[in-house]
Amino acid sequence: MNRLSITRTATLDNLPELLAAADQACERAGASREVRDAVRLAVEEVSVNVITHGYAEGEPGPITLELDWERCPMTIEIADRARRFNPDTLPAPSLDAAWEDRPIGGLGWHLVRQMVDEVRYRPDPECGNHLTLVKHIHP
Amino acid sequence: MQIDITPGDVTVAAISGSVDSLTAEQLMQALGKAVSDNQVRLVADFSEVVYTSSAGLRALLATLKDARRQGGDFRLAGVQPAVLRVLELSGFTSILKLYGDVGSAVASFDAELQ
Repeated sequence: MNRLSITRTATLDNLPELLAAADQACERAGASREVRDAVRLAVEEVSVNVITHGYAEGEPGPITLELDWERCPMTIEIADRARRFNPDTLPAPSLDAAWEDRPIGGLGWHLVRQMVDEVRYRPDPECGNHLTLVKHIHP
Repeated sequence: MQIDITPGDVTVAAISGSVDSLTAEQLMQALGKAVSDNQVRLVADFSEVVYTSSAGLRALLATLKDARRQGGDFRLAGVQPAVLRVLELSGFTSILKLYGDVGSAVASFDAELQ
């Protein structure tokens, strides 16, 4: 079956397992090194946002990563039960600013959008967030 | 990730592995310590760095700001294509000076003194 799913408590300690799942899916899908790095980067940025911001208040809850490469493009679903966060509301970072004016941070979501072909967000009807990242494995 | 710092007129930090959310804090602290020890002419050898995420970019920008505010600079050497792509997409190649290898990066500081 060309699908891989992993659910863990959203902590940095569990990040390596989530990243390993992303690597494994890309490997099994026959993705190039470049595509594998892109998927890994997108999964890292989204997961770390959930870990450090989503569950910032209170105990960390679950994060589920589901990768499906039955068809091309691959879909990468990331679901959590954290507070609502719609990435479409984020302002675009200023990439031309002088070094003195660059804020430290704020590039994670910009990179996610650069790494994948499509980002879809929907809030979970009860609580949490559901993201779908779409990535062409064989361009 | 491993960091090996060689202090000198120009301090060289040889970094290898992945700079990600699990390792970037270690990099930020090591480079921050070098700058606070007045090693403000600083080169990071990135020839063995295979991956960076935005966490790594934070460490690089923080170090760059620290070094320049103290009259020095922080320069990168030997950046590999996968990491270069992330630097380019983030607009970092317009604020960081990049060199092909450590020798050229170190020499760029020496040239400024003459």
